Amino acid sequence: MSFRVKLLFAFTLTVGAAVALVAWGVSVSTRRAFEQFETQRSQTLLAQFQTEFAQRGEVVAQRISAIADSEATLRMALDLSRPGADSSIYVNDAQSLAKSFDLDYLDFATDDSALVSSAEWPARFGYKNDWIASESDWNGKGAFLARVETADSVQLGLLAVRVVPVEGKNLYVFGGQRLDNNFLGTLVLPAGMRALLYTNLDSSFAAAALSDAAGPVAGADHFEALVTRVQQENAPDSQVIVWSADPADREAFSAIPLRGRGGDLLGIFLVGSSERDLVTELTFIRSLAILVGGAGILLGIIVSWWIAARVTRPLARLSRTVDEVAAGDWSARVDVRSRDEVGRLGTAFNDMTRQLAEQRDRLIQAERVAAWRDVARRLAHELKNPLFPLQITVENLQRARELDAAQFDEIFLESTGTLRAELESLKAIVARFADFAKMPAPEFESVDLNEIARAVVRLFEPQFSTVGRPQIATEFSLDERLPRVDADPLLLHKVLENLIANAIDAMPSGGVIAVRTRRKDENAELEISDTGAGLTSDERARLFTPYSTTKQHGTGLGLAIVQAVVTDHGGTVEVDSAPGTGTTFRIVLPIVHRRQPADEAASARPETP
Amino acid sequence: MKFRSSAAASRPAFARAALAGAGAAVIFFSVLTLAIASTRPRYGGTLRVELRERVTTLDPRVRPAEAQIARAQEELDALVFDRLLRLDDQGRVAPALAVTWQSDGGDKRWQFQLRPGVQFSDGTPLTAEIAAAALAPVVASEFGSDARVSGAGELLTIESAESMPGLPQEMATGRNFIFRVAADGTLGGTGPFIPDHWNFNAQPAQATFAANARCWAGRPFVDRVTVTLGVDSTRIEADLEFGLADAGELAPAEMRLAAERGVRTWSSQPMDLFVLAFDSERLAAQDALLREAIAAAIDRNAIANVVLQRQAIAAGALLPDWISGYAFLFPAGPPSAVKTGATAVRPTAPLVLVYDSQDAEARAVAERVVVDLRAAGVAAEAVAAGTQAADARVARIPIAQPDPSAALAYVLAALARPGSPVASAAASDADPESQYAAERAALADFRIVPLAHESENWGLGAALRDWMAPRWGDLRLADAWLDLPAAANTQ
Repeated sequence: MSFRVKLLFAFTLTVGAAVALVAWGVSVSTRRAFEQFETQRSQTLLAQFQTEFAQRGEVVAQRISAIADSEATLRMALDLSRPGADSSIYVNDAQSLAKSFDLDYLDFATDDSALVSSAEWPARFGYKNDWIASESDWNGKGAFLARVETADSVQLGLLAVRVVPVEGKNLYVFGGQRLDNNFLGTLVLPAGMRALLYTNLDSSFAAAALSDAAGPVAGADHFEALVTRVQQENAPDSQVIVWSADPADREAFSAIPLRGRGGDLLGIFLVGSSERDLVTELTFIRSLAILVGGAGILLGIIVSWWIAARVTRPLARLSRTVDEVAAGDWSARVDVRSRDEVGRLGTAFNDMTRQLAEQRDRLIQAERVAAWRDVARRLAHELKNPLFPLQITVENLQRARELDAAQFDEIFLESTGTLRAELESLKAIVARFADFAKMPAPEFESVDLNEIARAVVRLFEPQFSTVGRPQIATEFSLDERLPRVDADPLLLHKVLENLIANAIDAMPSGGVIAVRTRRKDENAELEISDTGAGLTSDERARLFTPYSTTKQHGTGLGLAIVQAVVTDHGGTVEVDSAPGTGTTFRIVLPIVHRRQPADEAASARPETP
Repeated sequence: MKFRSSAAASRPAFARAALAGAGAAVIFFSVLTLAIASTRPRYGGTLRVELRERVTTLDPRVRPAEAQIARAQEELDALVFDRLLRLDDQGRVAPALAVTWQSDGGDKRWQFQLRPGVQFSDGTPLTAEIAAAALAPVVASEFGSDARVSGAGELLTIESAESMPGLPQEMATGRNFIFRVAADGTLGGTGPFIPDHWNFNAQPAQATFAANARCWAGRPFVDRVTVTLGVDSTRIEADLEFGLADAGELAPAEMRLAAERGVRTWSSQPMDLFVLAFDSERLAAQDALLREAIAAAIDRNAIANVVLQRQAIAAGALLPDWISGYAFLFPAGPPSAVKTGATAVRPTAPLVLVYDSQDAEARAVAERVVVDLRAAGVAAEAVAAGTQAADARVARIPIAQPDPSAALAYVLAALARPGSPVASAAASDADPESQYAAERAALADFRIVPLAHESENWGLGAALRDWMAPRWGDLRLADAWLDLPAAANTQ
């Protein structure tokens, strides 16, 4: 992964995280705002309910007072105060009066609290309602919540009691309105909210007792926990009702207890607020955040790419320059356009490269001088040996001129022979140098490496058994399944000749030359081993250096030629050797040659230095 | 000073006295004539009757399930059709279409001599064959399939393998009307009125009857009778008060109001029996202890005095005292706990009491019974019949028989216990002691709990004269007439 991509990734991650953080923050703040808003709405509705409840109570109290103050009621009170009064004639009065005053409940009771007439349960006349005698000052009290028993059910009602005293006896007038879903229908509910009423007439939770303005609530069982808590604590409570897996279906409910005269819990008023708006808003915000975040991330990627490109461009230039320098272009320089750290790095790199180039030039110059000196020394050494016999021979010829003709002729012939031999020697020396200088580029063809190895060994067989010299044995370990190799047979021949010659020279006391071939992956491996004295580490280090030799009469070009040829074939040459253990040269050649720039360079190499 | 002679003086005095006497006599006779003229029945006019029940047919062959509607239909049918016999004001069997009747020794064969010259409203003479055809289905249903009715000439014969001592009583009451089925399927009667037009599907439903000039008992005074059906009792009272009706059936609650507002009212003897009948097969109805506890818990006086507004008397017996003479022997006192205690027999599920949904009084009585039962610790509820399975029912049984034996048999039959030995004994034995024993036996297991006997209540318009109290199930409008101005009478 490039530095630019890393930088881009880091920038993108940063932008994405920032967008996510902002979206989360907005979502949380929105949720809180909504919850606060919903709480306010619930409180407002609760307040509205309490206001409506109080107003309804006032209306009930006023209507009961009006009935109590009416002439008909006074007549009834007067009549019933008489001994032996017939109350049966009033048994239906409550019903008509309740209808006239729009009351759900209306009852008349005598001084002993026996019912005279009941609108909600006409058949209950004659039975007593003891609770009305428990209070002395009903006329000064307002409406209150109470449970009302009818023929069919027990209901929750808002009641008021008034007393009509006549002749020392009281006529109780009490009644009111039912607190049910019709009452809930009078509440003005904002969208998404609803009001429920639980008539707490049983000790345990009763689903049928929960209703809204439309009637019984579907799924009332969901409210059991909330209702039960309010029943037990007789205090307000709240709960989120989860209707389904969809969060939008959730409703947050606040519940307040509705108490009777004695503080007993008679009902529970519940205000619910749907979380659909909240969820919809949050979903919108989340979608918007994803959209904005995606756009931001995309923009961030673009901007990050631009910034990363801008930031990494000097580094890229520096990297390219380093590659050029590494490729050998010591003239490459970084274009420094800034004064920041990257600019200073470029400047330092340029200085360093310049200094390295200067040092290299100086080193090359020094090596070149050393090489020429070495060549000169070698040439001088090589040429000095034939020149001295030439000089002696020429001086002998000059002295032989004073001899007689026969002796002169004899000396002349002997001297010319010597001269010719030494000149041939000089010529051979020059030819070897010329050969190294004009090493040709390999001409590849499919060759049998085993066959070349056998041919070269056969060429040297006469020398292995020269009279007066210790015997040299040969061992072959050739892989007959070795495929043919792309190589130049002549150059490969010369390589093996050099290595076999070196092996012979390394074993003046005789020994064994081992030749091995084998396949290793996609390469062919050839080893030439001898059992000679081996090489020291210094000798191994200078082994392939041209004109470097451990022999008295060597030119030091043989192994250099070996390395040059093997390298031109795309292969490698290694040497394993230690003093006393012999030496093994290992040549690794690719079976299939792939043309490489080095080939082009080799092919383009001039034949003469 | 000039004096007149006494004779001369006495003549003008005598003349003045004679003139004064003659004038007085003229005035006296004029007033007397006017008074006689004002009380003499007048023909003409339309008598407007309003009933609370909504009758749906006049066909006597169809018997509605609801007792109140069945009785109202019988009252209307009595305007159109006659029976072989009738009950007089004392409840005795009297001639109607049959002038004589006799049976053999075992009361297994009865012969009725038809009144000669009687014609149906279309002019067809009444024959014994026509009467036999009309009575055959009713006789078969009341006396068994082996009872046969046959007619020949003016002699109608009813035979059965079983003794039929109460047959004349039967032929004087109930649905035993004589009618003729015309070729087009319409029914013709011999009664004082002829159905003119009717619409039972209208709101309100109405039926109009025209006077039958061929009626063997004579033409009724009014030209027409218009009966409006299904009218609320409050509306009937208002119509009577404001002259929009001439006669109307009032609920007990309206009787006091009507009297206070100057409307004439009329109440019969207590006739309708309200009874709590445990004729269900449900478990609670089979519990004798529970039934006894329930019977003891009910405040019958509250039902009679308050629910039925003193238009009834608390009932401890099936028959009212004015019929049986021994009803006082059946206590109908205040509620009391039985020895076993109501708590010992408290049922697990609420008792279901049903009532006739068309009968407002029955509903009110049932609701009061429920209140009493709840006060005694027995959960109960009152619902309209047909809505759910019942443990007991509050039934109204109109007692249309003045004869104690026949009345008791009628009541027990109405309570769906006709096959019981008690019912048979009641029907066959007219001895008061046996009758008392039979009724005592019928009430012994508390399956039948009498509650109250209610009067029949009517409100009468100011113009209605000679109102003949409905009795034994018949509206007797033939003798009623309207004291209206001449112009009004011609309508």
